[in-house]
Amino acid sequence: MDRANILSGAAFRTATHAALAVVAAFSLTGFVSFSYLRATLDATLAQQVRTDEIMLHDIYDAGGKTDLVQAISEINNPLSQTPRVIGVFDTDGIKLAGNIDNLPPLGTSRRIELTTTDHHAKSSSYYLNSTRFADVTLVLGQDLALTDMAEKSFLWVLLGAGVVLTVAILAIGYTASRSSLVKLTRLERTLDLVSQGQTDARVPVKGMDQIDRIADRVNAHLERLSSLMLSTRTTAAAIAHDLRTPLSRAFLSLQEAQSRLEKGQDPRAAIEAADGELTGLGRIFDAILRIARIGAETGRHDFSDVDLVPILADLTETFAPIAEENGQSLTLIPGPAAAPISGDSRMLRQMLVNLIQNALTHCPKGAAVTLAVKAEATATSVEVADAGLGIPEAERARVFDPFFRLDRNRTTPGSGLGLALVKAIADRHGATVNLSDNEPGLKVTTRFPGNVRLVKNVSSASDGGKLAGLG
Amino acid sequence: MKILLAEDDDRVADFIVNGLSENGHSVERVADGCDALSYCLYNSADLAILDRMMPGMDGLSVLKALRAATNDVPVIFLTALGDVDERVEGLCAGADDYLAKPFHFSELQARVTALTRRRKEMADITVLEVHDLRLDLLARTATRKGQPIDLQSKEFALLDVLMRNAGRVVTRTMLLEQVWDFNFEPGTTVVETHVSRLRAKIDRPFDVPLLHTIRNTGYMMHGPR
Repeated sequence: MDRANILSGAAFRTATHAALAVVAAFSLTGFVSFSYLRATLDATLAQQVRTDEIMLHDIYDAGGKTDLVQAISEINNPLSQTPRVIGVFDTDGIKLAGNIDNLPPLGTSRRIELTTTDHHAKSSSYYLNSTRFADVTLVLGQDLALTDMAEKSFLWVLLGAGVVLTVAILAIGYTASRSSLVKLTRLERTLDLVSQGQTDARVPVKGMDQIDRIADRVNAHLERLSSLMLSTRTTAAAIAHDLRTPLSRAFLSLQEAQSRLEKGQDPRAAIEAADGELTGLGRIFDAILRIARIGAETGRHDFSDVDLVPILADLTETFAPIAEENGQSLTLIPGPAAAPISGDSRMLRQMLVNLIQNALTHCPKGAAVTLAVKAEATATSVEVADAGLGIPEAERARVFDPFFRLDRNRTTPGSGLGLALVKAIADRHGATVNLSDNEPGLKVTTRFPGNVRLVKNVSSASDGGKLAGLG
Repeated sequence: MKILLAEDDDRVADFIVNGLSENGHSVERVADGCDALSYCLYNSADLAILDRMMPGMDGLSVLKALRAATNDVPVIFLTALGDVDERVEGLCAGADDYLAKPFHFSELQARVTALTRRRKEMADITVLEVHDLRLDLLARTATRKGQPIDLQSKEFALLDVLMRNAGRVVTRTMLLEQVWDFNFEPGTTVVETHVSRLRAKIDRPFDVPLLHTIRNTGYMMHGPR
């Protein structure tokens, strides 16, 4: 793993910023706490010195200079364990008793370096207070060693905690950055594999963090991409296959026309045959291009209000004679007076024509085909039902694939694109197409959701004009 | 008649030029949109055939520019197969007719003829007559030799289009567009079936046939010649 990559990772950079913030916060709080600590310790020392001074002052008040010197000599005996400074000087600054030789300046000093002259003979820093009584000067001092040690320990603890915390934060950042990098590398590698043609490669997803969510999305997109690629490949193969037949027939017809011309015979029939094949090819192309176009379009900017009822009535009038010629029947079951939806009327017309023709083409003689439009509570639906052979349940999902044809229909005319176009148009309108068993036969229900308007039902109009649809 | 053809493919253009010339039209061919626009603006053509895809300026832009310049030369718009929306777009932009490529020449010929006569005939016609067949567009009744003929609404619409174009070929595609509003080719015999039903009503009981089939092209209404 490339360390530079980890260190440049977002997680590590965030951790670095956090660590800097911690150092700054620690320095500030450390400074404040330290000042407070020192002030407290100083106050304690001052209090001790003050207590001693009051005691010695009492002695001086009671017995004068002699008693004071006496007392100090006793306090400063070799058995005393307290390392402190004590001394009494006369007005000329000559030492009378105590463990220091020179008179320090009057007043309070925070820190004076001294060497005591008693048995401790200790050189240290002292807190000193010199007070003048009537004919003597009293000097009292406390050793600062303990205070210094406390302060030093405090600083060390503070520093130690700061360092540990900073290192911990950086370590967390490093680990997080490393795990992000591992995930990103996996993502990158997967995309590389896909771009190299291994379309089934997917990103392994283990957690639920942001990168995992992105990986999930990437996987979903890859899934869609590979299914699109697969369907494009299949469609391309199917197109090639289905176009080859009419193309070769056209070739053969043209060759026949040529040889007929050479023999002095009438070539027109052969030319017409070629023309018919090429026209058929054109229709297949047209259907493919329409499906592709409709599939590629989005939005509803060119949609308008379309009433399905007159369109169905019109198509019934158009196709009923054709059904009659085939020995079939086509009827529109009376329903609502109007079924307005938002859509493209020409596309919808083509969709319904394809459904009706599909029923007429694949139904045997004598079969009845019925059309019905229904205004439901939340949708408008159109049903095209026939009493033909139906479609086996296992095949129903596939009939919308371009060029898919049931085996028994191989010989009937058709390109296998009609239902694919129906699906494309339905998708464009946000409609669902459902195939069900009409017992016997097939029922195709196209349901347009959400755009139901106020519709009066013809059949119930007589009994009080109830409203079949919702606003 | 003077026709401008704007088409960038030489072979397609040659076929169209030859075909139209044989039918007695004088054809000026240009290969890009800018030339088409300047020709229409500075010369007077009776009809313009514009291809959708052209170098320089596409057909739709030429058409829009022409209409913006209040030039109302009749325009036939040629579109590619499957360009469902471009046909609508073309009509919206002011084209008088459109035709999807590839097409049979007879299809183009029929539309050129229909278009050059359409304008003057559109105004105020309420009754159409061919020989002894009479179609009253207001009363929506048809009579032949004074006998009323009962027509369904699609049959009426079909007869309306055919009689409006009496003496001229009306192709299957034109009928699909004008009678059924189909901008696609249905796989079944919609036109043939309805024409045969119409014929059974208006021709079969009478001695003189008026509705004629033009082989491989379409239909024509005309009286005895």
